[in-house]
Amino acid sequence: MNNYRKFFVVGVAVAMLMVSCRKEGFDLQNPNTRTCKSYVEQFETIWQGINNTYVFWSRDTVDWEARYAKYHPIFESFDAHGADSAEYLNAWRGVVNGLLDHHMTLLLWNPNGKYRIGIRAASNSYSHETDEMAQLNILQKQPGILDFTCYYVGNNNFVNSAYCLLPGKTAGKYIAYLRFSSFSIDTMSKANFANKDKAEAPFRAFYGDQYAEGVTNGAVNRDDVEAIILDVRNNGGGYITDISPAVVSLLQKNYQHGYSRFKEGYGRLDYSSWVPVVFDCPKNYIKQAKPIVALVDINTVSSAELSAQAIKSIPNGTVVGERTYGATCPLVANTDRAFNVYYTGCFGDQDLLLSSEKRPRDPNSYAYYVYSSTFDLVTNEYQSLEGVGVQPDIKVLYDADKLAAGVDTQLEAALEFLRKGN
Amino acid sequence: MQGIMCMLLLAAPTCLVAQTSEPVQTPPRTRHWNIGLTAGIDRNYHIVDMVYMTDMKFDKYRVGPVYGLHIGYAPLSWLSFNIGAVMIQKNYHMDHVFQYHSTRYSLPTTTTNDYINVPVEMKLSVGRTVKVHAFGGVYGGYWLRSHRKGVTYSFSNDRECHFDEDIEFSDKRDNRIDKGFTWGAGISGKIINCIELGVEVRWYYGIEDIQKPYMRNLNPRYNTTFAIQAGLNYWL
Repeated sequence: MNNYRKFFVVGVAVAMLMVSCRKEGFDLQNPNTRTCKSYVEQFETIWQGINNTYVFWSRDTVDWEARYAKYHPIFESFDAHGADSAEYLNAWRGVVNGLLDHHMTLLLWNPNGKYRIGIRAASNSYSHETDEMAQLNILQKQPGILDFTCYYVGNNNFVNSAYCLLPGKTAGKYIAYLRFSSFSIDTMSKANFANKDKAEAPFRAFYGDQYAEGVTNGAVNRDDVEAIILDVRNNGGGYITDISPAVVSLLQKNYQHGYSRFKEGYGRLDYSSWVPVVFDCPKNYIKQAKPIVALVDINTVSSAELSAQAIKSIPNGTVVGERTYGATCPLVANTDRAFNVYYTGCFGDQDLLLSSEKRPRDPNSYAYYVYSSTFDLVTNEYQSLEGVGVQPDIKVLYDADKLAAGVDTQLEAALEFLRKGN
Repeated sequence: MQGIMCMLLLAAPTCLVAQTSEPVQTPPRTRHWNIGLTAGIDRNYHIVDMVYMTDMKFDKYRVGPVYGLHIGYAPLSWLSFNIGAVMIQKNYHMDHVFQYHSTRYSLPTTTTNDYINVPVEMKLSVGRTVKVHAFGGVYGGYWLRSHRKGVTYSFSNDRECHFDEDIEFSDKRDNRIDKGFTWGAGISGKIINCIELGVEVRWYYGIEDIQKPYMRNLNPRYNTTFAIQAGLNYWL
């Protein structure tokens, strides 16, 4: 019996030991709602937010722990000694420099000077400004132009568009051309604003009166239109819901881009399952398959890149121009709505981006807004286009000198391909 | 597994013959070694603090099968030492419930994890024909397979998507080594001289985080598994 008592005592001791063998957890603050009162708190919150919610940790090669070790003391010194705007900007550039996410932009509020700075994480080895007006001026000299408009829709969305019918390969036949600078088509169709009819005209002419729902009585359905150019150069993207009516309606069938996933925990590698990304073909789609060219450049971004990839995927589709920007993974910018659904992507004070004042809710705080991809997205072959972009089938680099001389080399190449077939 | 069962069943009549053919006046031989099989079900508690991700709930549990074999050595009638090999599932269920626009979504995921555990334990027993046991020890283990099934969300067409897939282990993330403590209690009785039948309840208390410490600010995840098993022991 004495033995049993000893074993009982030993058993209780072992049980107590067991409980203490597990590591303690710690509290992580929600990076979407935190209010920061110092430079170092702002740094820690953004660092931790990216650490836990960034969707590319399975591929990104940046040593994020090293960034913490390097920059934490710098932000501590800012609190101790102050920082001018250049130091502040450079420190933040250093923190996020080279991250793979080509959407990632930091909007940071410095309450000391009451100013906002914006930093893009990605840097492209190839980039250029696009002289959009020069391109449009050249287009207006083409025969058969019908309309060109530039209108803003609401606070943040604008659609700058142009439509024309250009001479085709066959006499008496045409190439329908549409250019638009933003995937805000559905928003535009629902909004009320001055000159709405004029703003909608290119889309009505190209797709038809129900342009936000696909192709109806527009030019692309006409028998004398033998080919199509969708010019998404300098198109910064926009609402992904536009892809089906604007692009998939020209493909005649559903388009599966690939697969997407988001996060299901705060571990860097806590991913959801890959799910197919399918854009449904609207019930109003083009009657007859026709050659389609997507005209792209390095400033073709986000939804515009997905559109180019969609056109590239069909036998009658060709991408002409430069490789696109490489911000191919979608996001939801509205953090009040989306962050607690996906726990990835954008976080922080969205007023710094979305409000008309671009000021934080609390101007005395070190407010921040991190604009970042919500979903990881790959092609059907599980290849990521993030940072890579869509590669053109016919490569034609932007040529500023020729553009200044009145020649849009990329448009010329697209027309030549459609007219001659090479 | 089937082979071992057959071996034990074939061995049982031999034991009966051996018992009946011994002279009555000979003292019964003391048997020190036993080999046994157990099978049952387990229920796993996945311990994880989701901090601010409060709409990811791990509060529904999933049962799984558990089965294995063990070898025991009993130097004394009330003391024995066991070592075993147990196939056990440490499953869990996560429900991601959230409101988006006016729709309430529920995205459940059931994760099935197969482990092999090797418990080494000491067992104390009281009783003669029917014995009551208490045991405790340690176990080591290895995470063999992980599988998940559930529903997720596709942004492109705003639909729910079902998935049913094996999870590929990540060398960077997944700690496939398992270890911890095990303890429990049981009751057994000999149905014939060398065959013993028993039931037991047992806890496996993992002290190994299932994740490697691959990043800063990572709360640990542990498994605590409760099993009910019935078993058969053959005394050699």
